[in-house]
Amino acid sequence: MAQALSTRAPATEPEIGDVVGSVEIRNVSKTFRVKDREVHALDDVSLSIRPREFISIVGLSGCGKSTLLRFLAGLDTPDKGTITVDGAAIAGPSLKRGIVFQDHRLLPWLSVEKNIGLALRTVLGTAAEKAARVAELIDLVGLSGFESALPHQLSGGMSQRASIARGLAPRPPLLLLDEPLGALDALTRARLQDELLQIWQQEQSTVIMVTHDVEEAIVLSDRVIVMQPRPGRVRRIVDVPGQRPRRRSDPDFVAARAEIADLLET
Amino acid sequence: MSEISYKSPLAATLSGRFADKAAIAWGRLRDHATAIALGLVVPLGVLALWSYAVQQQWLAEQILPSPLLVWETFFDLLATGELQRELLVSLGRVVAGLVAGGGLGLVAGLSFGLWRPLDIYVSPTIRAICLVPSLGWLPFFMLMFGIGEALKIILIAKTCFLPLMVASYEGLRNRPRKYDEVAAVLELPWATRVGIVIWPSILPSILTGLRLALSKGWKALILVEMISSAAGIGYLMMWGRKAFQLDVVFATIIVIGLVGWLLDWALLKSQMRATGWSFKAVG
Amino acid sequence: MSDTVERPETGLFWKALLLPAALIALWAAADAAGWSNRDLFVSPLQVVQSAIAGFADGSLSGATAATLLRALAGWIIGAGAGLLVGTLIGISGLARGLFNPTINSLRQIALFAWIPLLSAWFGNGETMKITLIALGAFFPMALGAQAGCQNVPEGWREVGKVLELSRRDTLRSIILPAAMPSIVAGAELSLNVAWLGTFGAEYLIGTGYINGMGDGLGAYLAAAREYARMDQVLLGVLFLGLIGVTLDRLVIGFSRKAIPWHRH
Repeated sequence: MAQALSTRAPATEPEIGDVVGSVEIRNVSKTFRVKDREVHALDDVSLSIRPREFISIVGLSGCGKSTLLRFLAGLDTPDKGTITVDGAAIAGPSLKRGIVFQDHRLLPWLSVEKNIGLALRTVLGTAAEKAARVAELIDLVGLSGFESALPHQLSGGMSQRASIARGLAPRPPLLLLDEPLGALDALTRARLQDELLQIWQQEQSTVIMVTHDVEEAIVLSDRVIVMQPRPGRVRRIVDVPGQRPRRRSDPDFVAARAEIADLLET
Repeated sequence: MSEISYKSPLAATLSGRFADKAAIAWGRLRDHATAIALGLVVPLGVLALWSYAVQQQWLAEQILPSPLLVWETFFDLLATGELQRELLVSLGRVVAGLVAGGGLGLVAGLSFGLWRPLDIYVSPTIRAICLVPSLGWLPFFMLMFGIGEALKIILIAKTCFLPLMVASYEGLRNRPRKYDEVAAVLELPWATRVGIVIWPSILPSILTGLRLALSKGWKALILVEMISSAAGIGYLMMWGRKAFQLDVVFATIIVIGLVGWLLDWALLKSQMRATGWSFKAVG
Repeated sequence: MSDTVERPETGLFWKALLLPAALIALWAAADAAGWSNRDLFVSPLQVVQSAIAGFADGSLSGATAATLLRALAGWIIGAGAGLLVGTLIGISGLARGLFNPTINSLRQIALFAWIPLLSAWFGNGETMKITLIALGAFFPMALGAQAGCQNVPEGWREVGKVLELSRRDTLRSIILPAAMPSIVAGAELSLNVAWLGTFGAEYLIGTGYINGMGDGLGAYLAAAREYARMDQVLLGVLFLGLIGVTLDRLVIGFSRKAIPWHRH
């Protein structure tokens, strides 16, 4: 379909089937200065994430989970430690790491189509290939018929779908989701969780999602990273057993939820 | 205090904190110095070009006096007391106009805001009259009131009227109602409500209006003094133009800008002191 | 009295017209009864007649057209320069450091205080007037563009970063659209200043130290005052206000079209 699309460095273009999207986080620390106070956002965090894994990071506010995601996106840099993606250190934002923000951040003056197309602006490929990719994504996230709608005409769920499509457009090996469903009502949320799983399976990216909804994390992820605040540290990494789709009444599910809830409370 | 992991343990002591603060202060100082140096590049460049142009006699001395001459003229005007005299006349006119026009505007805005029939029947007419800028009314006022002192005061008063009317009216209409409910729940007496709840909630808007009024009034005054006056800073400038003493014109332009800025700055400072809370984001 | 509890009121427009109608009636009655001083208090009928005469011989319409044309010419030059400079200052820290202090200082000078200087340099003709109007139109536009470009929410800038947009694309797709409401507000204010500046320049040159020079609404009013023609003065004032308001409305209408996503 739009196979010719690639990010600016064709040498590292991910081929379907390649093992890409692995992440190594080594001894990362970060301190913010807020007025005269120092806030210790992350303290010596290490993690390794395998290609095509679906990872969730949960934790109370202030545990540094969003900070970690911003490091991965290249929007901030740690004070100490290294982060590598497929062996290369992160040097600023890149289309190889798509990010979906909680507040969708669709540009209000561009239509859905153009918002998604914006992610392909610096990507190689003809206009027709790009248009085809955008159409494919609009179909994938279920926004057919809303191609030329402006963001203020969309519901919260639709905006977030468009935002996810924008993050996916350049086929990033790594997709970062910063509480992507956090602002949605429960019903829309459940539907979008199912869709996220489908999208993940179809696009074959590694996904790292920050959330504070424990059930969401268990429904979607292979592993759940539980973090604790002040200073932000990894408390435990919980492997989620069982095949998808997972039911909230499964004993495995209940056990995982109890374990994580316990970790968060103490 | 040793949770600062990215610093050496030695630095993470009290003296380290102090050094930290000193470093920040030094950084700020350096930033200020850089800002000032950068900001001076353009004015100094213009000044150099200006001096060079005068030296090379690109333009006649009457049309482009040398910067040095402007500087000397400025001090001559100060030494003879002429500048202070004319400035005092101008400031007196602005204050008189501001008190008269601004006071009326305040009363009008508050009445329109508090008494609905007045707002429906009278305020549209007043607003329509105010849609024509002061400058437009000038010929009309000149015919009606002559070109004496009254003309200047009335024109400035007219200029200052609208900002204060709008500010007090909008202040009354847009103030948050939730504090009224607090006052009602606390069963505060009427006078206390006005003093503690209503007046403070519209004061920021009124002070902003006052600043706008003063800035507009000052500009209107310069114009009317240029057109018809035998005193004041605008007159001094026009006199310089007619006598083709452009050094006087330059000096007065700078003074006009400076005084305008000083007036606004002084009001802004007092506004921040009086209603500093309103400058902080209210959730 | 807040908008939500206000019951819809009918006939507000007609109620607003009541007072002016009464005043005009009083004015006409006073004139008919011969109470007023004939020189200054012209009758409403006389104002209407001079309006018709002014359009018939083209003096009023010609003056209005000349002023409008001049205001637009000066506005396009001044606002265009303001947009460029403001955007540059808004997006470049170096340009901000270099030009901001100078612009902020020059902005403090009342527009008409430039007239003596500009008239000495450029004479009293078209060059001087257009320069003055452009100068007046420049500052609000530059300020609007600068504020708009500087205050683009960080979240949108980050979108540009993560999508690896080039500087040009970021400017075109993110910064300028985000700054648009502020730019439009600057344009509106700038047009207002241009309109007033034109009138003031014409008036000042038509009166004061060089009598009866130039054309346009300002010169029309200056001459009307010179000959104590109250009817023409009132007409001129009316036109000045009407056209100023119309220009404002045009810009607001245009801005609603240009920025449909913006809540007014």
